[in-house]
Amino acid sequence: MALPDIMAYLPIIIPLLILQVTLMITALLHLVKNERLDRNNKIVWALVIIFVNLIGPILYLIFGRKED
Amino acid sequence: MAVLEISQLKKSFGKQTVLDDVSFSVEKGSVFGFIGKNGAGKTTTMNIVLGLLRAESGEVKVNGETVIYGDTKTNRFVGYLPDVPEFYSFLTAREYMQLSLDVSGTTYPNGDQKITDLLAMVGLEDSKKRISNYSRGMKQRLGIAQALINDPVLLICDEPTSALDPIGRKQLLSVLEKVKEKTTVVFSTHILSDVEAVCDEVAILDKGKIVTQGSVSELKGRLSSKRWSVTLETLADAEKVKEALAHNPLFSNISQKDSIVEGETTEGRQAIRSIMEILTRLAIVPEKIERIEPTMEEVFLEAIK
Amino acid sequence: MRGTLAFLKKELIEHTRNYKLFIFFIVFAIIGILSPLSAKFLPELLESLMDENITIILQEPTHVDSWVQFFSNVNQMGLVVMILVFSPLMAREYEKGTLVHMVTKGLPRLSIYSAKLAMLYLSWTLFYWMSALITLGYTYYYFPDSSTEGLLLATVSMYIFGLMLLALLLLSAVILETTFAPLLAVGGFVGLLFLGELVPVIQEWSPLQLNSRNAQWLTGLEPGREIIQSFAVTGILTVFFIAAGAALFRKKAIN
Repeated sequence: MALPDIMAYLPIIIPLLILQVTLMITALLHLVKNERLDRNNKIVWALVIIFVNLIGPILYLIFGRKED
Repeated sequence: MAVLEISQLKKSFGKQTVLDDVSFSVEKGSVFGFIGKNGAGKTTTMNIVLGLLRAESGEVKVNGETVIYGDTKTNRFVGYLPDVPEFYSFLTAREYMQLSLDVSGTTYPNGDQKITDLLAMVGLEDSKKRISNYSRGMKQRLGIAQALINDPVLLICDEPTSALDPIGRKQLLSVLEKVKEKTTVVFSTHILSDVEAVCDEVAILDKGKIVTQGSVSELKGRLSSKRWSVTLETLADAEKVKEALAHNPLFSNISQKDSIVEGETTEGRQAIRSIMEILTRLAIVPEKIERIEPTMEEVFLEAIK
Repeated sequence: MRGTLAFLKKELIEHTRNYKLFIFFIVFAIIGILSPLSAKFLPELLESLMDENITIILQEPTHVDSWVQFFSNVNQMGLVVMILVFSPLMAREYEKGTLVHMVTKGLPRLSIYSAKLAMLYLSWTLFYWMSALITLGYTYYYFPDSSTEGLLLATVSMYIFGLMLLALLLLSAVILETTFAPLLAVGGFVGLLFLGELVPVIQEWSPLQLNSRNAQWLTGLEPGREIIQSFAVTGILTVFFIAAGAALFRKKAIN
């Protein structure tokens, strides 16, 4: 794809990336501070959060927090 | 005036009858002990009073108003502390108290101050933590504070002391003593020493029935067998006294331990008089003659016999 | 009223602190962005991947494609996430016995129920329309000659469909008391609607029209009698779900 094309998509791709990164960082920060999970669980969740795009962090924030 | 009146309450779960014609009333300004074994129906009764459970028949009146199941109007007179209180764990104690104040519909000129006072009373005034990080004792203390937020006429506590350590228990009982000045307290328990420590009136519930009810001293006075003991100077005297008492039908279960002779009787005053007559006849001077005050435990055991 | 508002405030704090609102924001914002993006981007991507020798005729994408994507994403992601996240809404309270304190303080059951319903409807309203606005903005940006014909009917009908599903979610949450059974109940209901599509009479009255025919209104199709029937049925069902939930919750044993 030509460069001008990519430039044309930037206004929509940048907000999208920002949203995804925000979500991932929020989930990771929570995971690091979470005292209710042991080390092994944390590593698994970290991998899920980083590599399963979008769904991973959401799954963690819904099911992985073990807070309520 | 009766703050709580329960008449002919019946409730069963399936085929099992939990409450069978339970009636009692609680007068204003007393601490009322509601005693029974686990599973006797205490919590069920309390849940019906709070409108959380439907009774099959019978009537409950709080402050003169009839309790209707599913309708919570009478609960504005009531504060309630369940045995294992659970609160919204994502809130702080202060936020929870504010929520409790708002849902109770109570208004104070200075609600913030009221919350501060109550939290100070239970020792949680400067906790900024969320409730999810609270220990069991802290939750129980918050439980008392939130139960008192609407200045209730009637405070109902379900086994408030059974999950606490001795210090927590002592704190809680002293809080109940304080509360008593303004609020009538009903608390269910199976810990009889707590009853003796704070209760004025008690009702004993067994197998879904109220088996006895009255003030603590009244119930003790009503106890059919009363204990007595005589302390003598010498072992020989004790032998003689025991021998003499054994021939009198007034006394039963006589035992001797060193120079102390103990036993039971059905007639407390008459028994002591007879003992003194026997001692005079035998020309023995005792160190001590005693009517032993019955414990709540004896009252309870006799009641559920 | 004060009690209802206080309880609603508790709901808002709860859903903020346990990241639920944050998740909705991210998901619905992404739907809003992704829909015009994939409408515009996918055909070009396909074209660039194609062999030079094979010529396929791809229609130039229009604003309609952007909205087609939007409605399909809202159906498959937005509504699913919202119903999944809200599914434990009553079960959490029943399980922990947290409502006991509220009820014994004299908070009417109806207040609890309306605060819960308000929480659902506020979230759906806020995030759905936020998502639609984002899509609208980008659609104008990338398809400058797009029209707004039929757009109001298309977006409102999806919105109303969501209101019905959330009312059903609350009703099933009141009855079923478990974490994910309400989710299954709503799923089962939607499944039944799909089965109903096989019968023409049911199809004509089915609420499903509100979430499947959205894009048709954009292409200039005149809404006929069936869509009014669909709105009527959906409206009646929504009111019924809300009223039934309230009636059952009033008689529910809480302890």
